Amino acid sequence: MKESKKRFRIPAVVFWIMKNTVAGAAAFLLIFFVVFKVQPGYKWVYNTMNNNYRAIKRNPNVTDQEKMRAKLGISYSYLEYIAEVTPKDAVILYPDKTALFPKDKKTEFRHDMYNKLWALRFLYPRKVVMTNEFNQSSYADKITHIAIVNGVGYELLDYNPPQRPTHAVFPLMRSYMNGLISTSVKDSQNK
Amino acid sequence: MLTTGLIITFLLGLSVICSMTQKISIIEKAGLSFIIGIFVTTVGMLVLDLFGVALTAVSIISFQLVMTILFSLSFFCKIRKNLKRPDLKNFALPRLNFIWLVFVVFIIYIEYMNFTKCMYFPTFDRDSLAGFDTMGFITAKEHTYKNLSIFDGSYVPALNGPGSYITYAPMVQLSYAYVYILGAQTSKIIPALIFMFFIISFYGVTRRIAGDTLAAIATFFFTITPEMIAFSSMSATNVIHAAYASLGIIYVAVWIKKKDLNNLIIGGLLLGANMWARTDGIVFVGAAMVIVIISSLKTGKIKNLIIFSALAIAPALFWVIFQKSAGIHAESIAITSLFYDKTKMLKIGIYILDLLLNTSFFGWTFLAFALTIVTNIWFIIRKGDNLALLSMIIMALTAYMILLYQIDYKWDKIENVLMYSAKRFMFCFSPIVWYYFSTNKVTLLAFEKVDKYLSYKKTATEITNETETA
Repeated sequence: MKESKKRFRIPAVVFWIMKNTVAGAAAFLLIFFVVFKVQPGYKWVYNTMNNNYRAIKRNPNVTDQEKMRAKLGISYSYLEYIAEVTPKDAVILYPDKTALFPKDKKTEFRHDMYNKLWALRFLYPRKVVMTNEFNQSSYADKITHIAIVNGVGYELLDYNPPQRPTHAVFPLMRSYMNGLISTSVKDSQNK
Repeated sequence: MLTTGLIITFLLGLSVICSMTQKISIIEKAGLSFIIGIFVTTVGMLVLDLFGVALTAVSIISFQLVMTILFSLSFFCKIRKNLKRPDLKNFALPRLNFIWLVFVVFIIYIEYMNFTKCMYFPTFDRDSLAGFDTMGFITAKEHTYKNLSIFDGSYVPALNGPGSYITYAPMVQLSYAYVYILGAQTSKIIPALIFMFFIISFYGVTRRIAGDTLAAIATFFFTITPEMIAFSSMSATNVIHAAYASLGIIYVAVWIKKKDLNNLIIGGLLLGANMWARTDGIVFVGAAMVIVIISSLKTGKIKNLIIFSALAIAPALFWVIFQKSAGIHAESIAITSLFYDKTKMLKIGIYILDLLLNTSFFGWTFLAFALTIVTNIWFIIRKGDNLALLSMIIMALTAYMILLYQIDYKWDKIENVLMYSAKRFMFCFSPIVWYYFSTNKVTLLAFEKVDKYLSYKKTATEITNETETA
């Protein structure tokens, strides 16, 4: 009889779980409903992370080239095109900022593609000579190709091309004659 | 090849840390391993380059393996006398509470998404394409740094102009070159891994002083600092630099608290790496140096000052020597004479204050800093609680503002530098501030009670004592 009257005590572990569950739930609510919902900076982090993650999971097989095209737009496509149609030993006369981003004209280009290093990341091992450093560069007399943007650069060619696309890259005729361009470029130009 | 190289880098860092100290926790050792490993690797790359050895996978990995063996031997020689069979009787699982668990789950969740994003997108940010990533990419192709084709003035006439990329401290570009040499398609694995190991190190060192719960909370808030986490998935230098600068300052603060030389050695090494990543990191070396000098003079232990100075300055000194020997130079942007320009001074002050108060960029970071000072003011004044750390934060921030003031903005507008570069420089302060928040007397007292109530097991003091007796 005496034993049955013994007071029931909650085991320590149950008590520990109970108080921890309450504290853990409070922490979760604080993070989820205050930190990530009220504070604009943290809210942005949470939403951006989630959206990016979902987008990544939706597109697992996208190639690096496609991702770059999505991020850098036509700026990347144009450099990719130059790299595709010129040989690796080409020396390209590359447009400067005023040609890429003319003040009086709307351009499709974006980003800092007028920066030499920026362009070199996609054109290497080709040499790049900017039009504004033409007089100082040791590669000025070795130029094999002219990069044309927004229709600017045709005046530098030593022949009249049959078609004049807005953005293109053309070999110099004299570089063929001087043997500065390997014959492989002729095939690539056919593309 | 890439995976093998990264594992060797991890092991190299681990051997360096273990040979330097046995008195830090396993979490800290694991966290610092990659961070230190990649730093030592890039120093080695530049040494090889200086002596005319081509930067190839074979030469770099051979260097890493030799260094790993040497540091491991040094470590085993040190512990040989005290080598004990692991006693499983003393093995116990960490006794933690659910608040800790919730914060840690959120840290892992956020970092997992961030890591995935970082690895998914190739490098596309402006600063990397117009600098660090391209330099790393070309270094990998040309197997040299000092003789890079883009370092040839006749090819790049504007090379020696003010603010030229040629004088950027070499760590980031060389670490990118390292992964490109090992066959990586993009350099993104470097910022992704450094940020991940940065989080682990920060948690480890904060846990040693503040206990598990506070460390998890501080790590969570530092991880989600909005502008910083956004940049952590890019290839820019700022977050990588923040890892070295902030951890360096934190370890110096731990040394002040614990008076254990091992922490000062790690702090010195990390601050040396901080200048290896960005030269403006000199403000952190300067701030820490003042504290180390004062402490060394007080205690009469000049040895501490010598060790710290050697570690913190050697990498920058080596970079200067390398630049001289390779003929790398650019037009200086520093104004070396003293001058008074009220408008410039005000502009810098207003912009910096505006940045610190901007919660969209830094969340509650600087709000927590102000709150910590206010609530802890009694302990700061009466007991000098965390005064060294507080001084280092204030000194580094002031020194950075002076640095901005002494710059001749020839290559860009001052407004642009303040708005973009200065904003990213503030990343270094986010972890330091959250560490400060979690290790001041008032917060420690409050969480000591929370820890005790929820876990009734390991409190901050117990963890500290355990690590010290280990």
